[in-house]
Amino acid sequence: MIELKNIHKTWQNDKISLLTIEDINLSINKGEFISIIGPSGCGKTTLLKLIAGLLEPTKGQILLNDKATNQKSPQRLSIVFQNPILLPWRKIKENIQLPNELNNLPLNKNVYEKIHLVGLQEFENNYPDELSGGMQQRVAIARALILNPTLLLMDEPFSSLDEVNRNRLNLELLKIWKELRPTIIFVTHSISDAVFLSDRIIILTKRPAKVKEILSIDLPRSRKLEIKETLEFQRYVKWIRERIE
Amino acid sequence: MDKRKNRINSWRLPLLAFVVIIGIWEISTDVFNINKIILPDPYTILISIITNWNILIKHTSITMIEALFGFIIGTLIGILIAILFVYFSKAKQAFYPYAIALKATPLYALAPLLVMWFGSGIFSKIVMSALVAFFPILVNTVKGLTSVEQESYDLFRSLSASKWQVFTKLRLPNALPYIFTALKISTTLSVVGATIAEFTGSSMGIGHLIVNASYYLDTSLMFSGIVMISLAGVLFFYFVDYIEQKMVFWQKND
Repeated sequence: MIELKNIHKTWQNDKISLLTIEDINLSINKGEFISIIGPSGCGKTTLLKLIAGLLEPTKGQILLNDKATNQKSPQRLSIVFQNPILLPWRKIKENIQLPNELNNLPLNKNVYEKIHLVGLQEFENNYPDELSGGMQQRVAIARALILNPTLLLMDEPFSSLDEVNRNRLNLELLKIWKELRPTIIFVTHSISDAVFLSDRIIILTKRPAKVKEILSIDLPRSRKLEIKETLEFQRYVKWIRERIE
Repeated sequence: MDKRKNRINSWRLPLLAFVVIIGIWEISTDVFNINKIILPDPYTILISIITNWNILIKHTSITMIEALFGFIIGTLIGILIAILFVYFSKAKQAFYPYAIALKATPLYALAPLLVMWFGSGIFSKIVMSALVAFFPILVNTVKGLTSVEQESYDLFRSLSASKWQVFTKLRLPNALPYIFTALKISTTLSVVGATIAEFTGSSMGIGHLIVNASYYLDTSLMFSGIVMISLAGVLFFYFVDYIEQKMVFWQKND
């Protein structure tokens, strides 16, 4: 379980101090699929980095399973960034091995299983620049899954892909989520993706970001793309759009 | 097959240009009856190279050994100081601007001073080579080590990588293309450095040979020396270029 207790974040440099996140309170259940959505530049990424422990909140506290994130504990969390951030000098397999390598685990632990999971068996010995954008992002997902994280943070991971690829990866992500059951926090600017993927959607206001609404998506699970055609789905999308604009 | 064809094609025009220029040179020395002491024709130079082959090889190797040692020393010290700069930002703030400025200065002007300090033997030449090779390497290594994207650091931090791991698995490989760019520049600089230091005072090396030949108005031998050291310098450059292609295979060169 993840709990955010009156989180504030202020950006500070010599000239300005800018309040980007104001008093966010959230609690996210284990195994839940949460999307965070809001106007661009509102601080979604900052919020994700706070949860990841890459940034410190100016005020407030973040608890992962009742432990503060700033304590150096081996939390099982992984991040998938907007760019795949693959190391160009490593083969696909070696890129996926990176988390094992950095944590002094057996190099091949879980590697083939995850390569298989994202369907890249044929490309394990290729270099990143030989793969398309969608395949590179698959590698990033496999890498993020290698340590079997209980929390997966995703920062607009598919935003640079075309719609066909995005839909395909959304489906694969749901399949992976169903199989491994991590908690997923998914930052996106696509309302349709958020509704399609999530249990709950957190809508943020523009800067400074506050929680505007929290919306439960009561669509049946094992969702297929056709669900986007239903009236119910479109009602959710419309409802959110009206609150973001 | 296509690749090979392309390679041959890319050589064809430069080769033609070479033949044309040498041809014009050869003919014009005849037509305008130019004194061989002022400008010997290519054929005379070729004969001079063949007859003086042993001496030329000896002196070229001496200069190249000086250049190679200087190059290696300059490279090692350059990379080492770059690493220090990156991890001790106060040192970088204090000295880096001078490094950038000195990179663009003709440090060859120091040659007489170095010969005075370190003698007319091989050592002053190595110092000169090392000095001119050093600055490009330092500046580029700093650039390479600091040009890592914030997201890559975030990735490594989120995987609880140690500082050492960030250095060896992220920053250093990221810097390699920058380092090799500098290495290629420094191959040429170090050969020039050694040669110029030999001009100012030495008893061996291609610089010595050229200066000596000028006393005897043996212009053909001077040209022979120039040709030999140029070829050696080019070979040195392409050797490093070859290693670059093997080591920095992910960077597509144009």
